[in-house]
Amino acid sequence: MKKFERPIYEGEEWTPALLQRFLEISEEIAVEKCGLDLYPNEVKIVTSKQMEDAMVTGALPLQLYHWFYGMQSYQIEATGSRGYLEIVQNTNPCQLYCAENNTATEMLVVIAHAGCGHNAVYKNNFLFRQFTNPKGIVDYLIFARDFLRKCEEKYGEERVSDLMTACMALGPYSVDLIRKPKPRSYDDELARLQKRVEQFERSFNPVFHDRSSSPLRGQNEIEIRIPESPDENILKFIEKQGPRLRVIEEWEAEVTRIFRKINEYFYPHTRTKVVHEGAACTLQRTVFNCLSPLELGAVSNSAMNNFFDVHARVTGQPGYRWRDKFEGKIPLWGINHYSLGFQLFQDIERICREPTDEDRAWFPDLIGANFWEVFRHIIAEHDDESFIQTYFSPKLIRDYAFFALEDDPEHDYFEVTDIHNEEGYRHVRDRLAHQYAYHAALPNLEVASVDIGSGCALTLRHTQHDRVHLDGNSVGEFLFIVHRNLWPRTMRIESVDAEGKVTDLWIANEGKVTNVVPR
Amino acid sequence: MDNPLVCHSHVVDQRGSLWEEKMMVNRERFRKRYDDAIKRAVKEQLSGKGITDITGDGDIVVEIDLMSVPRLRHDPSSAPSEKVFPGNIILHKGDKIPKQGGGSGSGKGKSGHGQEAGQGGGGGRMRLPLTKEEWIGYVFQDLELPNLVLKMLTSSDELRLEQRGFSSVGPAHLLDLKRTILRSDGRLQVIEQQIEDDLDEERKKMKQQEAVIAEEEAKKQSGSPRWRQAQMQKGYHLERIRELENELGVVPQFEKMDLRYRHHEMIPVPVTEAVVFFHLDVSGSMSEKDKLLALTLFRFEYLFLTKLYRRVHLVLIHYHGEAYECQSVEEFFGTSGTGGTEYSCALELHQKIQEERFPASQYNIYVTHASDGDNFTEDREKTIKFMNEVVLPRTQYYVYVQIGNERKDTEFWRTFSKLQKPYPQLTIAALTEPREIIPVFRKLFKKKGVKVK
Repeated sequence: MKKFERPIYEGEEWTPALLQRFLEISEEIAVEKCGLDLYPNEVKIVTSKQMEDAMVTGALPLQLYHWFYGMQSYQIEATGSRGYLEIVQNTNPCQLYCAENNTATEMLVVIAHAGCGHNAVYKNNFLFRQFTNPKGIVDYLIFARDFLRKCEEKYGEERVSDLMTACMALGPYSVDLIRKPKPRSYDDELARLQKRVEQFERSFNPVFHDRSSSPLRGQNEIEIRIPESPDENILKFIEKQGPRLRVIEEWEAEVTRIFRKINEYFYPHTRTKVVHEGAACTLQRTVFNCLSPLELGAVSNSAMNNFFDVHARVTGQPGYRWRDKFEGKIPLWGINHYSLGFQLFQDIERICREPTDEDRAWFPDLIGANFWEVFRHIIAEHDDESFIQTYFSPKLIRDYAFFALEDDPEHDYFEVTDIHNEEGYRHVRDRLAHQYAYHAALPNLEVASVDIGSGCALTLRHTQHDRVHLDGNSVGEFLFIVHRNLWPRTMRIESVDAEGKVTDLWIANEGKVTNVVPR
Repeated sequence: MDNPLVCHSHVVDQRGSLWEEKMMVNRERFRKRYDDAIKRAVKEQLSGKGITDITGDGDIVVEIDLMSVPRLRHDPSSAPSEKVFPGNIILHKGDKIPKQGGGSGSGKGKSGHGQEAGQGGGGGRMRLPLTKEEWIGYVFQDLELPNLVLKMLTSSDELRLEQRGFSSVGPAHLLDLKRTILRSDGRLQVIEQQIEDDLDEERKKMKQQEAVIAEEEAKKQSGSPRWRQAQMQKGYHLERIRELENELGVVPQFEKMDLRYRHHEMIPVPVTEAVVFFHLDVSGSMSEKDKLLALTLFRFEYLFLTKLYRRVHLVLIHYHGEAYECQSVEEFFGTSGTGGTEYSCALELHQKIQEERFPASQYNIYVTHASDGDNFTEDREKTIKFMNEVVLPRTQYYVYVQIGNERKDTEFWRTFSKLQKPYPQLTIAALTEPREIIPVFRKLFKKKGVKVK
């Protein structure tokens, strides 16, 4: 690229024309210097009020009608939206919302950060490629909203909103971890729905249609197992089996499908927080470095100062290379994903260029490699867990001074299990990677069986890992709402320990949840 | 710029679009759901237990349906867990940190901590304290005094704030910017014009002096007294010009005299006045339980009236063989009598009070009468006469509540049933159980056109 004769902007006022120019420059850097493959960007300038609205649904490009979003809107209004510079959505073209009260530098940082960094992860990462359909998501959400509105007209607003609440509660259990869903367009969806309705009409049987009788009644003696093996995608199971067993109706199954799609859209986000923010912060740094007065000279010195200010705010981490303020209290800071991701990539770049003997021992593959090749590989093939597990270096653990702390409820103290030394490196790295695993905080729940003989009782099984039990209160609320709206027959959640013994059992029947002590 | 991708990317200014309305739908839904949940909870509470305990002080706690999406969680206290934190300074492997004061907030046991505090057990309920005013608001929703008409627009102690012109003093939030700027502009113009006029004057005078100086110098008399005087004068004018020029630069944009505040005045509002007569039978045939029931109903009505209509007068009459007017609510709610029942004496007192203090031309008159239904048979003629001639023609709404039994053959029930035909404003209801108070009450005072379940 040519050197610029003068900075492209002065002061902190911005114009749409400046943003357009900067968008082109930064995309050029991302494509030519970093070799990234990007979706086209659509940068939208919005008011802070519109920004608050967009924050409610987060990365989802369209809003469905549900009171829960209204509640969040009030909460966001109460806490204030300051500090949120942008929202980016996994669509094609990639939609990027920028708040109008950003300063010029903030705007440009946002464009480089999201328009290049997040955009590249959306387009290349295996999870997003596998689970999301950026081209069709807006189409699908419009279809979903139309469908939900029609349901509301037909079955009442309250019924639909309760059903939606139940689907949201089952959100974490609605992703097929193995199979890959095919992308569909609006018209495909309509055709599919039409087919489903026709099929239902063709196979309509007044005897089976009576909800109180099971279609397979009388076949008690025959052992039929549904599902054949435990199914982790509970929402999909209900969608497929519910109408078949006459437990829920077709339209209700269609609503669960909508939420399954939405959760599939969000699922890759939850698994790539560090990769996403790391890539985005690296890109913003790279773009501004390229444009600095020392290289291309497209931004002024004062703009660079402002950039460092924004950059430091975003990637700051209390405790990182910070040793002097200790006042007799052990501080337990949370980890900033932005910081961790950015430092991981910085460290990889350092290893590629100036490796130490330690790095040679740990990362022989990286020595002398092209950093941007490694970068492209990481954003395409890794999620948070594997990224940290693979690339977290001994130098980084010393910089962060990470330590692992065990909390045993039976003791009145926390115990330090390992610190940032040679002996503790592997353990701390593994714990940190585990912290970012999708199933780390999520109770492991799957469909165990449907008892066809006795009125389609559904049993969900929780398998205890590391002896962690379920929180009884949360099970009560969860089971109550799922039972009432999605499986109005008997429903059970059993908690199974390592030996396969049921230690806890909750039964929901006719709108009541009871906790039974198993025999 | 040969990359084909670049030309697809673009910037869109969306600030003017109609985006905002989308979220209003969801906000509206949330508000409605929240409101409904409280209403349902209040209703449940009323049907569940007696309402006499609401008269105490303090907040009333209702249990409403949970307002969030439930999530399945682990119980952090069931097993040991391990977490990684940054910023180690002095710790070594095996160190033990006491749990109290060990962390600065983001440490252990945070999962669901805030939520648990507000939750009851089981199917997702939340305990929500309401102040008594809020609670009464929910109980009395959709209710009103029937047939209230504008009678006399005399009473004027109710005032309303209205904007009336502008004033030069006031609180900052009422500052009227447009007017203030207009005034300041005018003032600036005048002042600056004045200064500029003065400047012109001074400059003219200075020129004259300069002319004098030049004249003297032309005569080669630079030291002459005239020259010196002219120099002095010129210096004086020059200083004055500088002063004025400075002044021109520092005329304040706003002065106190420019400020204009929107002025609000209290405007008397015409109100309709109402008076409510409570007739309570305190004769021996009314058991303690019956009296308590009637008192609770009155108390409810009293709360309702004082809540919704500030300009409502109360007249409290209790009667057995004789009738008395009670001066205070406490007295009315706390008394009991013995002996036979003669309603006509209460009506007589009613007529006297009404004619003396509440002329029918100025007041909406409401009557609520509670009794077990018994009355001396000899008193019937007199009662009907009073009702026909005095009470009913002047009354907007007459409520008779039969306490303690639902018999249709009591003295009052029969008498009043007959009177209902010519006087549709007469309403009869029976009340036997405390839990019926609210349904009966809602039936009596439901808003026209509002369906009450």
